[in-house]
Amino acid sequence: MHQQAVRSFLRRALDDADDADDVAQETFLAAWSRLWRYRGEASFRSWLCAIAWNKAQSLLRSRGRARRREAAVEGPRSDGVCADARLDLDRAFKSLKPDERAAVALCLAADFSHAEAAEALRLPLGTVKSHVQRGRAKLLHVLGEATDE
Amino acid sequence: MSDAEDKLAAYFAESRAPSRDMVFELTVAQAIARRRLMIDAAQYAAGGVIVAALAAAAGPSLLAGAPQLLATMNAAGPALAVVAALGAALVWLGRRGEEEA
Repeated sequence: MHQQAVRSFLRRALDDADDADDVAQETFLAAWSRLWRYRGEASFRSWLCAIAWNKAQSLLRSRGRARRREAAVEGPRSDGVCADARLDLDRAFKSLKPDERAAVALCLAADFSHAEAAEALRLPLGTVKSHVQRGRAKLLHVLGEATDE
Repeated sequence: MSDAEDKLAAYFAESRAPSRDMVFELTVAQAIARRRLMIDAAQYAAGGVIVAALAAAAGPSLLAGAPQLLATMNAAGPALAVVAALGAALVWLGRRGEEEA
């Protein structure tokens, strides 16, 4: 039921569909064993994404010194974005800080509200709003340049 | 919505997971079932170890007291037989009374 939100978020946050699915699976397993800790203070998918983000951060840290794979997000490629623009967007997205990337991924890729994203990332609402606004502006700027070429 | 915004929306839509994915859901269900099996097995193993430890700890003293227990039971045997016979008679009489009523 919530797999779409969790996996969409992780695919963007981790930039790798296979890693994203592995982390999503670990997330659901962890959620199952910690279900008693869920008190209903946040929405269930925010709680799931909080677990997912913790796991994703561990993976990102372990990747830190390793190579960054070139854009490996699998799935259907729409005709809406040309290859050059996609590469520029990938590069710009990767250049965002981890928290910014997570906030943008949650709000723009997984359709979370700012409040839900703030719950999931355990960040203040204002911080999430500015992360999303700044990240989106950077991406639109890159896209503007790419489309102007 | 501007062209750039359309393209940004399309870019994020590319990585969106499908709303239903049976393979993923089955993989997760399988992982949970495996974890549950491991937890159950660990609990049974722990229970078995506790029972074995108790048996090992209390077994010698129980065995040492067994002859005395047997002697007591032998002595009480006739009395227990009388009590059992009386009980059976009471049950039989009770049922008979119910049938007549």
